[in-house]
Amino acid sequence: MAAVEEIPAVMSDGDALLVERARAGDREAADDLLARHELAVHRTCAHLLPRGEDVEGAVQEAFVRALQGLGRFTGRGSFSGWLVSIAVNLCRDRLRRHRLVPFVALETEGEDGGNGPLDVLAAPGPSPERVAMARQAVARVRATVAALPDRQREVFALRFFVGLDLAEIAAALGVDIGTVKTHLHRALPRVREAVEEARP
Amino acid sequence: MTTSHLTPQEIDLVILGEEIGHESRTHLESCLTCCRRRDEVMQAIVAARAADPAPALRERLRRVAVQSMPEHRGHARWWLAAAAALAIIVLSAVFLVPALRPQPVDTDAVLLGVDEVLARDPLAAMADESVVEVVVGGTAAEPAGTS
Repeated sequence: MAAVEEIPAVMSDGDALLVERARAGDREAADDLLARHELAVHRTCAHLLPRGEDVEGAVQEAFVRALQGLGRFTGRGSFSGWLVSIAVNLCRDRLRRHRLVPFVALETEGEDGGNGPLDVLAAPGPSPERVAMARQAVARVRATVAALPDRQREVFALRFFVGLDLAEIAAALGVDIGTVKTHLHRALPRVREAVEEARP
Repeated sequence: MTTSHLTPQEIDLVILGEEIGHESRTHLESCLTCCRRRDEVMQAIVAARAADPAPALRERLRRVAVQSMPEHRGHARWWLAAAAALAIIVLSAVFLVPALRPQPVDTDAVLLGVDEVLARDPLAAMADESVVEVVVGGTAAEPAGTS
């Protein structure tokens, strides 16, 4: 079963050292620090902003805010959780400012040079029917996630698309773990039903 | 294997990584139908994830952000500022303290000036009390004949 790559829940020694050096103005350390956690920020922005919105600009702004606010990072939680919280707040700001309504495009191919995530779903034996079913399932998942209430959508995306654990999601959103679980328990049945409806 | 398949709620719990009953877990381990139901949902979710950006784009975004950092906020800057402040304090002490120290009164010059004024206008003897005090006070300590 394919799974989303997990992101560490606590700050590693390596992160702590890089944070310390970056705070002292070491640019190489800052670059290494961002490189370690950049995918979490990319995935967060990609899933919390509508398609077509300036995801790259949001990622870059999140990086800049993080580096300029390193002094405010207490080190109590993981660095990735802190970084993702900046990205989440930034996405909320942008959605609020532009009054954007999240949406998803139904087509899914060509995003990563033809070796896309659909291959996971379609293999083995990618018959036309199976590929069509896979496309429909993915489209339904995206549409369902996009239609979730804001907080449920954030929690679902951070858990399944970004790969944060429950504690990191709670820290990133400023809620307790029980609240995170509640949102997941409400969101997942809707997504599962959407997948089941795509079956022939 | 028991015959009852997992309920949708149990499938959700499995996907969320939470506990289900022992009987249900045993069933799941040997039931292809239930495993397929679980995997279909998991795989659709994974496939719905947006593609990650290319390494070149990621590097560019990082580089721009890193270049926005202030030059060096480290210890060197702090010591530089402290050294500059210390230098200013020392220079101030060297040049300002002597200038502020009270200079001794040249009583001879003052008395000469008074004599000149009195010679021109005797009424100027009605001088201000502070002037008289300076002159008289200064001369009282002087040995006789110095005026």
